[in-house]
Amino acid sequence: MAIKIRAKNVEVSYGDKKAIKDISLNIKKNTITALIGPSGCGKSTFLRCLNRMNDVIENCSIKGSVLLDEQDIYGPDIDPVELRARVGMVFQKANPFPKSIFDNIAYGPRIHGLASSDNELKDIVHNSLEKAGLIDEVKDRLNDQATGLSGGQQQRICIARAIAVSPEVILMDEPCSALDPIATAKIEELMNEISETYTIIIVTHSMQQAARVSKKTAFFHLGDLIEYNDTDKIFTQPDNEKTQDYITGRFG
Amino acid sequence: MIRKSIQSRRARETRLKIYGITSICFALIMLATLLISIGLNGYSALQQAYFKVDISVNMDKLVDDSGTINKNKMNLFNWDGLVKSALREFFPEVKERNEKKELFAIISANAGYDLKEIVKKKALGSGSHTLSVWLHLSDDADQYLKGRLSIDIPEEDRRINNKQIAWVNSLVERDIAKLKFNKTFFTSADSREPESAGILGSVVGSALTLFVTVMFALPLAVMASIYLEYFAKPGRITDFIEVNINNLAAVPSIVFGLLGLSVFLSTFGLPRSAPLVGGLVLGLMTLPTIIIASRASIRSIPPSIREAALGLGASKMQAAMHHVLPLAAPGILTGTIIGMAQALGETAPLLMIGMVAFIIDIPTTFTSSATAMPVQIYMWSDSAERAFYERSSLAILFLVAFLISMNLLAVVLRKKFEKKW
Repeated sequence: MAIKIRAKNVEVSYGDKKAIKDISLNIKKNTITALIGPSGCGKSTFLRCLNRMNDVIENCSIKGSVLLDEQDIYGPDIDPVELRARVGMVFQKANPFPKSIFDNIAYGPRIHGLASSDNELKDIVHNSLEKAGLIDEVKDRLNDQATGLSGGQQQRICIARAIAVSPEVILMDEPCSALDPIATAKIEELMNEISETYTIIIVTHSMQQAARVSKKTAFFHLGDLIEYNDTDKIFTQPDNEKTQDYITGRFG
Repeated sequence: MIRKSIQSRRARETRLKIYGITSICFALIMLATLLISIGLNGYSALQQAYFKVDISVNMDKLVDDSGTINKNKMNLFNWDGLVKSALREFFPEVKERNEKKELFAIISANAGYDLKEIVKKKALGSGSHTLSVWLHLSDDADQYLKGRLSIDIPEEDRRINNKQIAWVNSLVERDIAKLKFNKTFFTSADSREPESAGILGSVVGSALTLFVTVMFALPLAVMASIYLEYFAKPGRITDFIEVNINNLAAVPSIVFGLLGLSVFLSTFGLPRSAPLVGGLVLGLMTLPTIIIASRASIRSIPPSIREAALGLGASKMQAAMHHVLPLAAPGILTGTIIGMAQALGETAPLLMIGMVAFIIDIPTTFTSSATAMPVQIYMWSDSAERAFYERSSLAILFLVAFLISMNLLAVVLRKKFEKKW
């Protein structure tokens, strides 16, 4: 299968402190890749490198290269704004805008000029909500405040909002960490459904979740990539001892 | 052991509560005392002594051949004489020159001018008309009727002598003179004569000045705070800017007046005493206050909102304008109103740029000569006439009312814009 993202010798440091060291990783197109590892191992930092969200953080410096469709996203002719339209992101804490559900979904298409008419915009919003499996729950109250929804619904609004820009890649930074099992199950189901059209990279603390949803898993420890392989392989016969220790719960 | 410590802790809590309540009560009593004493001094300025005269005017003498009122003829006409002769009809016994002078001192020196304005406003047709008009008594007669002029002191030390008192009393007895609502105070600008002096000129001056201030300071402050929060690269230059903004907030206001004098008046040659310059100076003065409040407000918006926008591919500017600024608006607004209230009460910088001038016209443009409310109060409190004393007290009440309504507006706007999470 084709490679969507090729990270080569990526190194990120915050000031003097190195967060991740020399990571090389190839991510396949239209699959779900999970990044696991104990807290502070650099998996979120790595994730944020993939759509240059680290640019926002002060004194953060990045070495190495990240190729999206063989094009370096840190190259001089890449606009981070355009990149983030191609590589969407869902955050750990659901962060809908304090606006109506409709406006939340429509914001991305609006700023990127994806809809030429009101009807087209409505269609985009409708389709995004449908893909996110939310349409039946919210179709009658699109003008309600998105912040009034439940936590799980809010997170799915955020996923729908990311989908509305039609990205190629969706980054998810522990999207279920604040949700109950039922909401988590819904989001996992949703991820499975959309993984045919989107490349998804998910950071998670839950090994069960990684095992359930992902095809490939990467294990990070103290800023190093310890092991990267098929999920089945990682969870049944890992090559590395540390991986073995982590997934069996001996540390982490 | 524990029970004992709980007891002493409770006692300490009660004591602290009592301290708190005492200090709040003290502050409230002080405020009430202040307002009541100003109110007691100022309420009488709501009334003004008027006298009624019947006057006949022949309009034919005052119009052009075409029948419109001729300004020149109006100005040349002896209105004073008309009023004075009408007054003398009440007191036929006054013949002597000195006595006449004393008699005319009980009516306003501006009575003739006021009569002219009344006639102008009435737009009478041609021919002779008899008008019954109420004109101001002099400030001394006014103060005497309000009981604010003590008559126990020897006659030669008094501003009003026994004869004048008798005339005023006789006018009152004949129902020709009385205290009426002081409309002049709310409809005219400053005057040398207390009875003709009003506050409208300075209110309009203050309003024009504050308009310039907010138009100048608010956009600058918002842009500066967004830049400092989201765009400025941390480093020496940014630190230097930040330190200096905080320093600016502590600079005495008169220094801003000097700055205005040397930069706006001398270098740019802007007009003196103008609300435009006053607004710019006060804008510079309130700029740091608004910047500090805006930055605090922007910082209080959860970064997740901004990240969400950036993650969707919004530019930094779009994230700030579409999401952060609307959410920070209530806080920015509060900061602005605090800054405006500070600017409204400021006198010193306005003195430096000439807004302390004696101005009898109500300003109409941003460049016409004007004064501001605190400066007006300052000038009146400096005047010798007793009648200005009550007027400055009333003006202070007016200023306080202005401030309270500004704060109310802030609360209303806040409530309206505040988003629920």
